[in-house]
Amino acid sequence: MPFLSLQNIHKNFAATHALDGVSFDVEQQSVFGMLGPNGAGKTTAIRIITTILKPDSGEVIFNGHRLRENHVEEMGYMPEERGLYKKMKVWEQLVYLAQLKGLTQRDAKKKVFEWMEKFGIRDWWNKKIQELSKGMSQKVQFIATILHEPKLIILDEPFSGLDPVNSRLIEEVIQELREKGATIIFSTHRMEQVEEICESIILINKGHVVLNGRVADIKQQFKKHEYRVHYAGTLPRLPEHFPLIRQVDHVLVMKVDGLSTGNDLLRELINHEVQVISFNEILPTLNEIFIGQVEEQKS
Amino acid sequence: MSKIPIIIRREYTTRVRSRVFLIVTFLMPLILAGFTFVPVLIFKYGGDVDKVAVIDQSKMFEGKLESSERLIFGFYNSDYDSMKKRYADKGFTGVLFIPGSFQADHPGGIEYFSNDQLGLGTESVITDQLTKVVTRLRLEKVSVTPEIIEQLSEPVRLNTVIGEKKGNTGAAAAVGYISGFLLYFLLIIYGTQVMRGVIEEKSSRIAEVIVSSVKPFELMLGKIIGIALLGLTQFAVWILMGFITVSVLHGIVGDTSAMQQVQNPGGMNSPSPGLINAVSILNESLNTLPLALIIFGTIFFFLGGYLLYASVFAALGAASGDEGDQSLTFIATTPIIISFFLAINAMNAPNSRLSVFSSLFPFSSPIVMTTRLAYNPPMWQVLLSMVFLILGFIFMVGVAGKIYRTGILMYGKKSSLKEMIKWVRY
Repeated sequence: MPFLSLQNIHKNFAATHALDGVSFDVEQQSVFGMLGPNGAGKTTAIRIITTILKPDSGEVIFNGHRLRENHVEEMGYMPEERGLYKKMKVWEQLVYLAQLKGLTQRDAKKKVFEWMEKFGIRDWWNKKIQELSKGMSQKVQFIATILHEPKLIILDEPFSGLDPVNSRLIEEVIQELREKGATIIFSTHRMEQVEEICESIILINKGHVVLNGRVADIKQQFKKHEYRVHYAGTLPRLPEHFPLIRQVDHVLVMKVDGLSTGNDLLRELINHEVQVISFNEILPTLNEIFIGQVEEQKS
Repeated sequence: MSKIPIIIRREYTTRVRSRVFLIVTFLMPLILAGFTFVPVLIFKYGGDVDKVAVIDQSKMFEGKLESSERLIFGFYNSDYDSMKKRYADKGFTGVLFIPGSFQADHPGGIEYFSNDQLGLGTESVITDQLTKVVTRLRLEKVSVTPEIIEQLSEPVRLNTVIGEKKGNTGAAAAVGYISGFLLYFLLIIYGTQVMRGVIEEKSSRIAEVIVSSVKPFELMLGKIIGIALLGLTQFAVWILMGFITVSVLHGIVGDTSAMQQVQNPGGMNSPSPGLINAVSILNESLNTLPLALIIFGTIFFFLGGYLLYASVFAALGAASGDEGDQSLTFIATTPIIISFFLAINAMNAPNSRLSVFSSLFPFSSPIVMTTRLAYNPPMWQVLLSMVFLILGFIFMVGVAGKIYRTGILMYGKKSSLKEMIKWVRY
């Protein structure tokens, strides 16, 4: 059973269909990527999950139950538009936000100092947010999101504006939390990170789900049956029924058509006495698929 | 469990510790005193003394025009034209010329000459003085003796009595003005604090984090109530300060009368008789006012008016642009300012139709009714006004909540009134 399930969600703002029949499942303890260009409906979907907005129709199932307002205590949400009270002290701010998530003041304080220790900002506990560097306040923001150990963590563009060290730290903590049982939803434009971290993704465009599935499956679905061949020496005659797409230096890109497989191509190449150094299938990057799909929708 | 108390606590504690709060709390009484007394002082001591040279060829006015602190008449026998040239050198403001042909029955031909514009106050004093003399002359002409005129001119002294109690219009005006002004000031100060708080949350983008934990309505209500408690804290401090001041004054006055009895040899620190006088007049005046009603009413109308206006301010804050732009403030401050003018009108005519209406209408009643309280208005009007105010803020909090809910998550430019109305209908 999926941990979170959106079922045929519709949401309109005046004349615009922000979400038009959006459905997807997020498996428990997975890292789920939500992709889409600006204005696709990602933020609306996230706001519906976090109960900030109510859908016009459709249903959200959270951990086996219809989504209720008190479920937000089990969620941690870091919006793309980050923000903290600038004049509050670090620890007060974190304790306040944790209390709003249902922690008692005592528990909140304990957790705040544990996490500040872990992120190496313990010494800053009594500083005001406006005195912190950007990187520091991003750490505080992240701690605020996960402090109450939510079952569902939603991160909207979590790495934007983050230096590599902090990026790494947050990535590690995300994995750690997942191992402890958390489910993570990631919303981002940065495809290389999605490929690295996410198991499943959806691609939303103009309020519709364009793609939905496991990253590996989607790549298979969109592959062009092209192979990259790196060879040595001079190139003899090539097998005729495998079209040559490109040839640069000692690298060939060839297409496998119809019922043939990669094995067939490799066998033929060897039969034609091509000295193969490496042979691999070209899988599209998520970025290419993303752009291709968005372009296709436009036309 | 509702999270409103947690929000209230944050809104209250972060503000009560701030420097601004301390400054306003301790300076406000001084500012208020300033606003009450400065206009009086300016009026009393603001102008220079006007000296008018009088050339009275008719000889009817000599010795009869009365000089005052602000206006001095000086009589001269010289020629009008030459005086016109020399009056300024002699230190006069202008020349008043009464021709020899002047007759009490046909009072024309009097001229005032000056190179400067005559002030409105000075002009009316001169006219009054001339009229007074002419009136006397006419009465004497019909054989009314100066003694009889004196008797006839004895002014009436009006003792106002409200119901069973002795009224005191002066004290009522002062207390009404102070409490009305206090409310006007507080509604704007606390209202804009609410608005600023909302804009801060919007522009710092923390609003979205908070509303993923609590409902926008809870956040709005928590903020409004937190700041209301701040206002009540301030009231408490002021009442305490007032109480201490009065006690100290009493102490000094009481002590010195005791000291005078034992004939304190040093004679140090004895307050002037003026102070003792002022305190006893203050005591007497305050005793004529419905003090309990005024204090309770002021707090009630402050809270009611604040809740009503704070929700308007909150909605406007949410509809404002996220770059800290406060240009929508006028939508809320305009009715507050108009209410203050209506309150001043109510001081002149506390029971006029306009005063009664504006002290019942929820957007003006907080300030106007608070002012009227000093004039002992009919109890049914006070109660009705309270009921309307409660209904008014319940309605307004509802409407504002809807605007707030949508506006707080809208980034970019400020929204138009049209959009706000649309949000209410969502």
